[in-house]
Amino acid sequence: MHSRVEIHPSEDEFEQYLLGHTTASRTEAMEEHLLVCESCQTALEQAEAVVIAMRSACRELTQERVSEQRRWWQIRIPVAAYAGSFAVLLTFVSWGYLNRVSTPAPESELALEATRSAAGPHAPFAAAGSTALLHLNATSLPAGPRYIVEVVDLGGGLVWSGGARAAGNAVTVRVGKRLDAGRYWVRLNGANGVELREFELNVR
Amino acid sequence: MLEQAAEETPCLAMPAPAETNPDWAVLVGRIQAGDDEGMTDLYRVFSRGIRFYLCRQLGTQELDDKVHDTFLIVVQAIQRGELREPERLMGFVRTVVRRQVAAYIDKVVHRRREEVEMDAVIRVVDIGCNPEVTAIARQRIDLARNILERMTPRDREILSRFYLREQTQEQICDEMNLSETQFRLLKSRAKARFANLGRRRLQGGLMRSVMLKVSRSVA
Repeated sequence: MHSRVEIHPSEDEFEQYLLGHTTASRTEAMEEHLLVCESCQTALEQAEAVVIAMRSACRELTQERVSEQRRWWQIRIPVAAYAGSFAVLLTFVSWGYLNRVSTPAPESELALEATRSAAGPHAPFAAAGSTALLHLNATSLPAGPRYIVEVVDLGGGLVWSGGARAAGNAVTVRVGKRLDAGRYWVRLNGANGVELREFELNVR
Repeated sequence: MLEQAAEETPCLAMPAPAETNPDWAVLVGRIQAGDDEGMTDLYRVFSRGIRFYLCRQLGTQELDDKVHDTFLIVVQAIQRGELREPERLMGFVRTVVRRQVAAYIDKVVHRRREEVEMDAVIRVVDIGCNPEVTAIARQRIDLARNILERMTPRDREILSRFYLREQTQEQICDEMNLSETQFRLLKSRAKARFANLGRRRLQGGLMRSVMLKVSRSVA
């Protein structure tokens, strides 16, 4: 049974669709409608422009706020102490860099569950600069010989994509790209490209 | 919006379909009977939507070829009798388009793996943004920043949860102790300001452009 879109979707519905908050049947109905309705195609593009602008602006403001909180140089410290601290820091950074170059971070292995809530302090995370072996919960999903896994950043930009196979109730995939610290979404798609489930991946 | 006066969208550069609500079963019957006009009508109805979908998923590279390939697959499947429920033609076309997207992504991923190292960045979609598109996007972001900076920290947090952290309305209302109406009102006010600011800047830009032309013609 399909959810029919008898009238054109509203602006709010387009936002829900763009942010991945619509149900599978609703998504199907909207995409079928978009195949034949020019005005809704235009409306979707306009809604997307707003979503992208707001998301980018929120991200920039959040990052600026975090940077402002970390301005440790505003603390008054004597010049000699500054110089000494800088020398010590430079030594550590150089040692850390050389160590990093010669010994890349070991692979992170994680089991991910689909959830939309913000990750708490005890949520699993991958180490920045490492590859990741992910076990994605595939319970109740339609079985298939092959899946497509996409890793996207918060802006929706594709970071990595690859194939995966099911192993029991999980789909296991090795993300060969060494990820920078941040928050990502891991999308599990069927072989036909239909999105089945989405997971949050934190990298620290 | 700021860009409406001048933006051309390659994804939508197609003629409008003649029919807005055709009888799918009749159209499918005509195609199965080998009616060339039927195929023309099918193309007119769906080519724009197929182009729109493929462009959003795969970018503008080789878009015409991809639209053509997808349309061929649909027509051949109809002629082979694979469409068992003609009234579900839209759903069938959507399924074909999504399979095409998955196939293209799969092909690119495999090709990239053979050509580059495993841990190199794999960008499947080359949007090919030109400087004008980038500038327009930057203007929109600046507009959005302008609006967000004038809000209270709480309102900014609410919108940030929705647009950046992609939390659902229900979750935000639950965690921030908001009613659905309050949430919708906040969001619609922000978007209305976004549209108004965009219109004002567009009018200002157009006015400056007109004044410039006038001053040049006088000189």
